[in-house]
Amino acid sequence: MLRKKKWQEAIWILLAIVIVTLALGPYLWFVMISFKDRTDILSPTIRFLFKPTLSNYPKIFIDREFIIFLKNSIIVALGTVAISLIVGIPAAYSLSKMPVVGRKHIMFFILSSRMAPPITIAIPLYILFQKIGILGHYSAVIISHVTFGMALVVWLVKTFFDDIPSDLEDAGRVDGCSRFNVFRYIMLPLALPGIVVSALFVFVFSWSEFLFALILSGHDARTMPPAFPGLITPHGTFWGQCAAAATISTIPGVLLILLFHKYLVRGLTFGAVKG
Amino acid sequence: MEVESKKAMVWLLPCMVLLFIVDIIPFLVAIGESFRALSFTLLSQRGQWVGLDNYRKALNDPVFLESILTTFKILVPALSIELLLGLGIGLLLAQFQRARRFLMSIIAIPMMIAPVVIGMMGVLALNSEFGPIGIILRNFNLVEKAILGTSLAWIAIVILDIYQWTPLAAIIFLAGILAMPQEPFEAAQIDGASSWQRFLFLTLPMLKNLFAVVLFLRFIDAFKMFDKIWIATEGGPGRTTQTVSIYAFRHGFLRWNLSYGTTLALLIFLVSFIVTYLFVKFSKV
Repeated sequence: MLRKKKWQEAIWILLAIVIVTLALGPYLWFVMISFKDRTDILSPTIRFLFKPTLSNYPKIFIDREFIIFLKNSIIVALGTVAISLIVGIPAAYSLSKMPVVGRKHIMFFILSSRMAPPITIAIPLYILFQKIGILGHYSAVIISHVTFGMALVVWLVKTFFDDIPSDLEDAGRVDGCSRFNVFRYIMLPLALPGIVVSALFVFVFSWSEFLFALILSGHDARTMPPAFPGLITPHGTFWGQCAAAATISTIPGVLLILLFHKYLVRGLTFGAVKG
Repeated sequence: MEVESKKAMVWLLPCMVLLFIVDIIPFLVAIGESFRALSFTLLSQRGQWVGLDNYRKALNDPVFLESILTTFKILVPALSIELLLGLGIGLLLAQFQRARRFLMSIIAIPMMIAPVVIGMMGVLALNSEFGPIGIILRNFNLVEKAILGTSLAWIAIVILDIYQWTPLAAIIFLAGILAMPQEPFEAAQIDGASSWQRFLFLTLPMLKNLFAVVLFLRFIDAFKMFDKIWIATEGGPGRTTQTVSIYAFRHGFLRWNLSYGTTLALLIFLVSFIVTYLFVKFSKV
């Protein structure tokens, strides 16, 4: 019996190693490409031993001015996070703790903006933004990203407010705190982990978003994702540079996971599943 | 109560106003646009009223219907494998105690990479001259050139999607498995149920709701899949990987046929709306 257990354990560990390799391997391989020079990348056999070079990074970010896209990505993502939080948190609070008429319908309405295919909103936004003249500005991309970001904040932060017992709030009210002060001094600090996690999820979403940015950012506000396809050409792609830009683009997402894996399931399911 | 619900509206108002601006107005513009003919390339189409012509055209457009089939051709195998593999990985990770969190974080990494970057990784990996997978495929004479340039390109897209999104199923199932009550399992064991029976009659039924959650989340996202395909094949070669979103995009922004592109996009929205509605109605989430 004991023997069988040991065997089983060995198999579990082996399988876990296989899965981790499959998940992490391709990513590490691509990161590794960013430190290879051209001959190492284009070799017909995979070279694990190579002389690492940092030259791809300045080449793509400075010579090919990817640093502008990086800056744009940061501005758009921060703007999206700020608006989503400012508008989303009060809504989440009221949907969690106040008697809202038609709560379920409102929640569904907010969710449907997350579920709509971007292309459905993108074409009319393009027409509208062109009319009011903000096409190609940061605000155009930020507004389009807020549709998703706000829905995530409302749904996710609401579940964190739900977790706070209403007794705490009632106690505050009895002691003469106004509704706003209860929110400000009791509820907000208690929901802070949820708010931080939502903010990061919205950041990573906006940071990775492709279609809206491609259509609405024009040249001046172009973020990183829509700049990637232009790097791949049929006649000689500089893969080291592509990988360098891609590696930098993965940093926020990987950080989010390493710092907040506790809330990963909750964030990814809009709060529907608590991990 | 009356006063309280009015106060609640004040808190909700900014959110509602913003949703109105970013969702309802564009949506109404889209609907208005779909009854007109606006094109930047065809000078005869300057936005005149055409009634239901665009919808009639869409429903009789063989390429649009083909793009729906292509979407499902990619979506069905991808989602099935993600669910099954995800369940397996979830069950496996549940066996671990101390290493569980660590393993979970590691396998979650592909989800956090931008889909467009995943597509880019695929293009390089499948290159038949210097991409690791491409070289292997060539050495086994499975394909003579890069798979993304052949009619099998859709399989590559399926695999990229599986790579990126199996972790979602895995960590959701893992959360579900860990949250399951222990008593039924102990009782079943005492009653002599084999581990296979316990899995079949206890674990699986308890995960039913989570299956719905994963399937829903993945369907909604996979149905509008765009980024990966756009960077890897642009819907090609030919039309073999042209999903509905790619097709609508082509009409809207490559042929600048905005009205027709919008009409297609609205039909795509209709599908996700119905699915979302059914999910919210029939699930307890």
